[in-house]
Amino acid sequence: MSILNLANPIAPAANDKKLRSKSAYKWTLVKRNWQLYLFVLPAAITFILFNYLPMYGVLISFKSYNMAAGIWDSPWAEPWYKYFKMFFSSPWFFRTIKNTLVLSLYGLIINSILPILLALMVNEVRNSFYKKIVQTATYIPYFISVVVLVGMVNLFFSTSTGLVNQVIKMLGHEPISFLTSEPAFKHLYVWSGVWQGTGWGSIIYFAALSNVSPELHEAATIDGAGRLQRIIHINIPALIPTFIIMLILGSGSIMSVSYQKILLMQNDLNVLASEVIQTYVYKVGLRNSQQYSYASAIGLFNNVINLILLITVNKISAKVSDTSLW
Amino acid sequence: MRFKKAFSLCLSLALLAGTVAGCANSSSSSSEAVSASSAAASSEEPGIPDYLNPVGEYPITKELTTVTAMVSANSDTMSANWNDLTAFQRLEKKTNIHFEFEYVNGGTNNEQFKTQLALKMAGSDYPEVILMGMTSEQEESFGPSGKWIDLTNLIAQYAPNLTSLIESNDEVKYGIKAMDGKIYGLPYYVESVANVPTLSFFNSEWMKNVGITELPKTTDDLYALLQAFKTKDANGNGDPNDEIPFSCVGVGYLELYLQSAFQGYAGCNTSGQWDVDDSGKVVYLPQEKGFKEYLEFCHNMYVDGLLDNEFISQTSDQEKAKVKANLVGFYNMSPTIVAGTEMADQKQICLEPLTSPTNSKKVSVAPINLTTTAGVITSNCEHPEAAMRWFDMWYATEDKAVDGFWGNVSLMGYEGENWKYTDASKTSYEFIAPTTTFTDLNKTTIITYGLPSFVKLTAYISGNQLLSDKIEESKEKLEPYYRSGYPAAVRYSADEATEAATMSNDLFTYVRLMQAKFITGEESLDNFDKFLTELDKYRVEDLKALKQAAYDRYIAAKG
Amino acid sequence: MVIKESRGDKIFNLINGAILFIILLISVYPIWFVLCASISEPDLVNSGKMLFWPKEITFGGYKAVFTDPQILIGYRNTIFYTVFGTLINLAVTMPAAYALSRKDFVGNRLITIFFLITMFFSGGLIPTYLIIDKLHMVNTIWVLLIVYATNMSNIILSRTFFSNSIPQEMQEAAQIDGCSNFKLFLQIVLPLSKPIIAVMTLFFAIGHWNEYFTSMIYISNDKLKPLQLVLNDILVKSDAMERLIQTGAIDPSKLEESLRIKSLIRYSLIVVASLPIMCLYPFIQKYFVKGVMIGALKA
Repeated sequence: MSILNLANPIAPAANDKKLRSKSAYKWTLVKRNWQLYLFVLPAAITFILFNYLPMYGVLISFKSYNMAAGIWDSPWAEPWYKYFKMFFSSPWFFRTIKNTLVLSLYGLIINSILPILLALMVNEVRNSFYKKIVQTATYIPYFISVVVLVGMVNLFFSTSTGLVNQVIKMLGHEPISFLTSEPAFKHLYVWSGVWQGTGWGSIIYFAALSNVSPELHEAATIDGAGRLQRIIHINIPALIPTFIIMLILGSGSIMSVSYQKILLMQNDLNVLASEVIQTYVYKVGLRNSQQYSYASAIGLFNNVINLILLITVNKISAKVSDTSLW
Repeated sequence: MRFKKAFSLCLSLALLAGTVAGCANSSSSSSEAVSASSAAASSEEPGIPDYLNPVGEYPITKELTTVTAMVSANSDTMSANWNDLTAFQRLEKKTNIHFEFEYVNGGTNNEQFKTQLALKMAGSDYPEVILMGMTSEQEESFGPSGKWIDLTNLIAQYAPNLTSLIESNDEVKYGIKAMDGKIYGLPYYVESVANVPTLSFFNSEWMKNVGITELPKTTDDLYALLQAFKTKDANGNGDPNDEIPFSCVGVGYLELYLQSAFQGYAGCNTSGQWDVDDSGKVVYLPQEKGFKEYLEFCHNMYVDGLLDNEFISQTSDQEKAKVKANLVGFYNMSPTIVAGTEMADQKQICLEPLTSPTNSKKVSVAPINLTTTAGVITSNCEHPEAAMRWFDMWYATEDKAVDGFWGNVSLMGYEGENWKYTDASKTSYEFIAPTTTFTDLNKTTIITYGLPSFVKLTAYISGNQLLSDKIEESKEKLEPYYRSGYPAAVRYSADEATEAATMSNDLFTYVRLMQAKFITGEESLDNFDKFLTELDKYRVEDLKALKQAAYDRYIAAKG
Repeated sequence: MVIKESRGDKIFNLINGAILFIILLISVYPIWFVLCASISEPDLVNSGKMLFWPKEITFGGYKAVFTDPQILIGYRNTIFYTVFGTLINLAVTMPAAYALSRKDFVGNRLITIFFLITMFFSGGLIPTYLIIDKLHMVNTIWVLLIVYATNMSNIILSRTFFSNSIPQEMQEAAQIDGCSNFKLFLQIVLPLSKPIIAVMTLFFAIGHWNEYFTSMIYISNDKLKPLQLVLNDILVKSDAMERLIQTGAIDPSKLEESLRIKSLIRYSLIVVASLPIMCLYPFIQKYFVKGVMIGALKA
């Protein structure tokens, strides 16, 4: 950890021990590292052009957007918080937030841990051919479109012809209607996502593992450490910074569950468990009637919550570990 | 601290950047207003512009005129350059008007087109004419602002065919009027014998196999028939246990077939449970008499195994597979899906609307013939009069055809070239090779997906027994009892539309959920009264008042 | 340097291998299902009767997909966007990530926050479209290559890698030796960063390959359409057919055929769209090699 502590960088004049003023010192660094500013320039230009310039669109949330008038000429909403109030006073408000949080957190926790386990396991495989096969196989499901994935879930869990229920019937029990069950929804949602995304998610950890020096492992083995011990004490610490960053980033998108998959899995009976903010916005503000202001207001609300969560988690992480986003 | 400074710096940068960008935008939007008003002025001129030939004379414009058009298309209609299609070529030769088409793929639910439209219209560089894929809600936005021009005078002066359609048909006359009384969109109106919204078909062999000869007339009769399907070997394969007497996809289909039997209203499903009673009062069907009985009926069906226990979660593909395997009694699809199976030779029949202990009126849901906003002319159009004359050709009735081109051509192609009647009674037609399907038409002759026109189709395609069964059965059993729900053509202001969209959605989700729970038994029907009082939480009375006001406006405009 | 495996090791390997084998089967099954479904009779697929091998083989889906000349154009375009887009992505993202990983980079925190905000607040589609329109980039290749040239997630991931895997002492040593930042980055840091470059290449390339939404909004010129957009056009075709059923005039037997095909097409499309890219990973994987750091540290 302390390797990265740059409290004592190279002093320009190696023999100078006098305390310089902080800003003069900083200016020295700026002059010395001017090229680094060039490094960030392309990214900065992209962000300014395509993210910051259009950001005035946020105003749509506070206006009664009229498609013909455009953003600037649309009248301000009466009152300015009109669309936010509309959302807050909807009978579905609490339900959608609760469902969003539940599905997101559940998914975040599972999807943070499982890819690490997978990466660790695959890393231990000696035979490089087998290793390649397993890796390629595990990341293939990522390419299956969500429509087909949900179709497969439907086929497997169907009450009449689904494989799962056939097995249940064979065991002598009554078939269970998984697809309409409220409690089962979150499990179906998250674990089908695991099926699809764990392999892909393990790739970044695989890259991090490749940095672990084999010498460390050799030294540990000579010291008598067993396989599991080596994994726990060498491999896992190498993955922790990445894990924390992924967790922080994940907490910054908790309110943004993708609506496509849920919409496909949703039906009249499980809606109490499956209606999330994004599906709600889609149905009210996009599908039949285009309510840009309303959709935008809910989206802004979402983003603000995400930001608050991110800042909170980041602060916690900075205190607890050395890794944080800023 | 640092973070706060950084954050406020970024925010102010963003706002600054945005203001700069915004100034650029607002200057362009003010120039649109100018061109809009000048275009509107020219359409009010009583005299004919110089470049135009008078109504009835062809070509339409003295010199070749070009009109840019943005069209909502899909893979079928984009496979050919529209200007290569026979109809468009002939029209161009006859009228001297050349169209430059820009194709936008509609996408699922037409969402892609809606987005593209919003984007294009947000700027100032939009085309002169837009075809297909638009909604009346958009009219309320683009019309009053002038971006889509008011067509009232243009129609009166240059569109005699469309005028006579409007005058003779109330649905069209009041359906195309915007809230400010003006007309911004051209209609697509189809009267077709084959357009049947409610389908309650089943295999007549099944009735024979269980020994019942009389068609059910009441809901109790239906119940008895379904029970017979379940307990006896209705599909004749030797196994009395594999039949599913009634299957559908979701609660919506139960609403469509059964709810009207208990209530005598047709607003379920198509109007989202809204209808109008005989005194002009808007009613919300779950609050009306008979709703509880309808739920009880469905619940009993479910419990007795007469209703497919997967009906809520299955997809239409899954149901179709069951139907084709002859496992389903009542299916909610067109009987034509059984083509190619053993059932194809067995007569598929449907029922007349049923009556019940709570309702003695036979009601079936009427089809909706009018599609609004199939075509608009924008403020960028340099020759709106010529465009209107061109559009008018598509509303011609057969006797007013120009060189064989009249309204029906927009769906069928040219008589004698693409299709012909099979007999003198003119009740059925067939395609003439090389045209064999509508897909072929879209590749060679014309776009059949809803260009603004007036189509009156009294014949149906021959050679398909299942389709002619469907049409005959529907005509005989359902047509006499057609009823529309709450009119689809009612217009809302922008604010009303937002309120309506939100309240409707909230209410709809809740009511569907509760129906599903009552029917499957997850919620006991003893709690039905609680359900009714819960509706207030979903602002049903507010929504009803809003819809009543809109409906009254609509009726008042009719005069 | 072969260390003899203990018995504990052997058991571990066995269990590990076995669990992975099960995971392998579970992972491969979806794509195997899709492959089978793309050549099986749709009614059997939809009724759950086709599970482990194809039934009643039919190639209608592939026929529909490949008889469309747009497919080849789509393939060509996507390959172009993927290759050049990824290069641009790397050129923009990597240097930025590296600069942000340097603690002696004044303004580091400010710039990080500046970038981070873009992950949370966006003006939405309409203002973005208007800007791109003003830049005359609508309906050109540039909108697909430049607008999403980078994103903060990938910058952060790369920055994490740089921070944790390139030792500080090495960079300091190089700077004492008079090495400029450019040289430091290009000649020392990058060669040591093969794993993260490999991962980022994969992430960006897959992003380009699956690209659909941006091109749907901005690209109407057929010659520029990427594969996913073309494939989706084909799928949407049958949705539109179902709308026509309302007028009832459509020839139903032909409609049935097209609806049947739609099911088939869906599966065939996945195979056609994903097979090439699935083969990419084995090539990338060789960069995840252990021990890249050893030599550098010793030096």
